[in-house]
Amino acid sequence: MDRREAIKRTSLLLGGAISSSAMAGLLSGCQASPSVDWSPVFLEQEQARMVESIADCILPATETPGALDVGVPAFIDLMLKDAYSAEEQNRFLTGLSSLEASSQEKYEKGFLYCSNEDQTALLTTLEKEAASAPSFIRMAKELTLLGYFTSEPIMSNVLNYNPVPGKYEGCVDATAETVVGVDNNIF
Amino acid sequence: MQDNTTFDAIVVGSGITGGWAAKELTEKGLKTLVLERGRQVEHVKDYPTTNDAPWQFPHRGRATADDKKNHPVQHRVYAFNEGTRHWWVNDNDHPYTTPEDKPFAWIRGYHVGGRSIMWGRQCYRWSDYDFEANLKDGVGVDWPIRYKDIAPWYDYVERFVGISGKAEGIPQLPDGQFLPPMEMNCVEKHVKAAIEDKWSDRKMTIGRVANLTREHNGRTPCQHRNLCYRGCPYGAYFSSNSATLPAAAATGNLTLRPDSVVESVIFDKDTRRATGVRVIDANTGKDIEYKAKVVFLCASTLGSTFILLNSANEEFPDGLANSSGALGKYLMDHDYSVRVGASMEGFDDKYYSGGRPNGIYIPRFRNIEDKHPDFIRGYGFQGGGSRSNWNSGFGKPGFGGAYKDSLTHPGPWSMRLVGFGECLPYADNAVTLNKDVLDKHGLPTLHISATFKENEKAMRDDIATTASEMLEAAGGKNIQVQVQEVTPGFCIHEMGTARMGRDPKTSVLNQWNQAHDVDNLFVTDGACMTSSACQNPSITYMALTARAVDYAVKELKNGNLS
Repeated sequence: MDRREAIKRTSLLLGGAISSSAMAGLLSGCQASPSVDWSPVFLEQEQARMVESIADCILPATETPGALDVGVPAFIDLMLKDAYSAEEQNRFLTGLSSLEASSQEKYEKGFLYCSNEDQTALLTTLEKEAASAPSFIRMAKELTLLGYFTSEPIMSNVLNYNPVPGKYEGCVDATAETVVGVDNNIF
Repeated sequence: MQDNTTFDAIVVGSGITGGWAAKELTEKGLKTLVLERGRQVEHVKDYPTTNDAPWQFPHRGRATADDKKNHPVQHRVYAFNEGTRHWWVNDNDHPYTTPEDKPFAWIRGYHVGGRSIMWGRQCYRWSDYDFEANLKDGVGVDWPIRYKDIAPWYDYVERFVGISGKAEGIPQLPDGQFLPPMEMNCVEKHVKAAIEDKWSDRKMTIGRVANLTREHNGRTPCQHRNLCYRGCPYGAYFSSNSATLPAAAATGNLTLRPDSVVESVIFDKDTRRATGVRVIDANTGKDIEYKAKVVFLCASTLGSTFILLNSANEEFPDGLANSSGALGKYLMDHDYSVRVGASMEGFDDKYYSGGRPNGIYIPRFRNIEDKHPDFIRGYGFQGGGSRSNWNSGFGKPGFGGAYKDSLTHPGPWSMRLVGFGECLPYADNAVTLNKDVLDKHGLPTLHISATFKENEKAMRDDIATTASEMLEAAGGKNIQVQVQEVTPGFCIHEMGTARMGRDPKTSVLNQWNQAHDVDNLFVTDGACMTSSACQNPSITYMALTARAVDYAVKELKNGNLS
């Protein structure tokens, strides 16, 4: 299934939850657009666009929606403003700058102008280099996953969401198709 | 006719013991005033987040930088998040001090119901291995009670609370009045069998937990949402708000006054009785005095001890009912600095369904039959088995579609065991009044100085060893031992500082939780504890409270307290 088809199917899956402008953005490939279509509260426009690309590399749309389909970049922006210390905020912003520098060094163009493959290669290198200590890439992944997997469309349509299970069964059969069970707990 | 400041009984605090004191006193016909320093919390109505989905929280549940600033201590509790933040005190508004090198985490919820709303709900009886321990070891003072004294009261409170669990016939962990047990998952069943197969003195049982597994006393069974910490709209776990306070209110004898900070107990030196309490209205700052024939302090371990210390007078210059000098001393908490985990292979075709607000329990097995060379007393384990979910992706390398899809399926199984070690009573683990730092009402604050010492530390090595060998026996792979000193207080089992004992010269309370020095003054929360055992203590506090009320009311009727 190609990307265009996947996104259309996703849109159907979500009951048409994706706005037409977001749809247009997705179909255009989302690269190097002049600005994000949401209003960042912490990041500069350029940084916000990088965060979009990073989130898209981490969790792209496939048969299921991607990070961009469920508002992950805006969530990351809000979390950076509200949930982190100055030191952690700085780690993230410095991480974005270093990523941009690596991109210039390796591909002689800005991160936003790289192909998705090259962006992923840069992030993969970053992940390999990062120690187990707190790192920019770890923050980016954690925020992307948190924003994605706790969003309503993903919890409701992709995972097995059951807010009031009624009963607990300790041993049920599982297959390779079984999806993660989730409730209203916080991660 | 009764005016509005005179009652038969006053209960200070509305948490797990205050609720019980209120229920028992009112049901025995006493007009009872319950004073709660914090705001009103009505069952269900005041559980604002109880049905909220993760996406309804702006930060998806995570604590914010403001939370960390307002709750520098409280936000580190496992149950603190965006959905429960309203239950934890603002540390800046309610200061206490510690020595710089001896941090202590004083975890508090100032509202009607107190920490009975956010408690862990694990309920384990003590046995005579615990009540006789101080005497046998020559540590601290002897408990003035034995298991036979408290056993009927465990029965009594358990029948009302509703505790699910399995009877096992383990002498050091007596069985109780249980509702049907919750189920273990596949890996837990496997680990249990492996442990019990290899060690005849070790057992693993499902957690005994104050969550209902069937309808009980008009309360709805647990719906397995595993969201207890937000307050349960079904009343499916025991709290003051869901159970004891409604029962007390139903008698028509209860007056509950929130926003009432008790400053001190009033003592009449001629009659040598407590005549009532002095209260500061938290909203207006006005002082009010309430009078009663009997006073129950149920303001939490350190809350009650603070009130006694702050009630010093000419007769008791070091704190009311403190002729022994024991008040404030012998503070304990459980040590849970050691946690061990292992990967469990071969169960990928098994999963579980629903949220179980409970884990497993391995009762203490050290120093029961044998004698360990390095330490006295022992520890139990709590823990459980689970499959990883999408949040395992935080530390998992990879990007893109395959990475994403892998996280939508349950990942590997793991089993984890957390040791809960007994802490001995030490005189220098103590709290004192700090008159240099005042709270917003102008009251002195507590200075808390406590550390774990040699016996607790010696236990940690053994906890790591036995947990590892049990997981290994169950085929666990990649066994990870985490030893990270947990600051005392974080186990939220703080107890002691107004201990029970046989001798008025060395203890504050007698075998009825009655102050040796003041006959109509009772302290029935965690402050009364003479040793800490290693079991979660709340059910013991509840049993002691019901027992103390029974005694107090009999004494009142016999004219011995007037």
